[in-house]
Amino acid sequence: MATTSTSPEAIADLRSAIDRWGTSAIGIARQASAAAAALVTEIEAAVRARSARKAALEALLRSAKDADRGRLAGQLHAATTSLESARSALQDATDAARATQTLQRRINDCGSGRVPEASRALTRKLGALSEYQSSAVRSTSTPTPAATTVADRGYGVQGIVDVPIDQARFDDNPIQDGYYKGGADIADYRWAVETWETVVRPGVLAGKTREDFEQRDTAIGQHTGFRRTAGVFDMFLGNDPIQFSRRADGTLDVSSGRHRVQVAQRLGLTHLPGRLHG
Amino acid sequence: MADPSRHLRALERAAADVQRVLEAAIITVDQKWNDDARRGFEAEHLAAIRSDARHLHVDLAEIAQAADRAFRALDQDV
Repeated sequence: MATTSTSPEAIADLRSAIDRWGTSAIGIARQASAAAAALVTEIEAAVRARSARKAALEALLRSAKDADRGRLAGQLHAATTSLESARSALQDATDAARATQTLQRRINDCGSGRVPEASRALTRKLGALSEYQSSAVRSTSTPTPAATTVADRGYGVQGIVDVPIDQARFDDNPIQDGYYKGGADIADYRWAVETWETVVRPGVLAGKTREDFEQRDTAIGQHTGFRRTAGVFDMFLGNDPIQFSRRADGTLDVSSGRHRVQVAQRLGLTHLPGRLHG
Repeated sequence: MADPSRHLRALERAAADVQRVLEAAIITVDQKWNDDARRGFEAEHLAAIRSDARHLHVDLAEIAQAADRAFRALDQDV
């Protein structure tokens, strides 16, 4: 069984650092985009001015007396060189502006997606740590039945759907074994549910299979025991899925998997995969 | 004419600073939180954010260089 060494303060610090980086990064990328656009604007103005100067010199040269042609030709040559420099500068500045726009999109995606997702994951972790500081396992409070929505998240397993666990009730069948089931304890169940949410579920949705998780376990030396990602796959999508059934009042009974459902409710998860009967 | 490339160089330094702060926080946390959940968090969330932090810094350095080139080319007026 894996050793756990977790500091809530460390997790809170990491969450703050990620949030601060996200805010700063969005501001930096936005300012960079504006600075590059300003450079393009400046250089476009220079190109227009130098084009006009060259055109004016060409007009003068066409109507110039012989005595003035040499001087004007020299000025036209210099104006042409100056215009070519400005056009070259405009190309560089335009490339830089495109690069800043691409960078800004990437950072915005990160700041509005990856950073808050990471922050929420750490918040859930903190909530779980706080919850599990209390060793007593209480029965869940009665949830308010809500409109039932069952989502098919595309796990690719026949009959397995995402079930809203806030509708699961245990009042008539509370957990009484203190989680010491098959050698696993409450920390193991917490690990399994967290690993489902943060590792296995995203992996399955991205196309990973049980074999991929088995290889992952092997790579980190987790060949046996409860804490294996392949085991988590089996618990939720394999040979031991959670079994839900609909009561007449719309709430859900859990005939198998109450430990996992209760842990997930305490971790703040909204759905778990399972078979829904009735 | 104002020099927007100077502003871009300042932003590149700011990106380097915030990346350094983020990495320092991660190193500190590594010493206090080191379990499977930490490794899962790294794989699912943190690795992509660290990559974006590196890109912000490195890409801005390249952009600032391109802007410098543009500004110098424009300055070759006669």
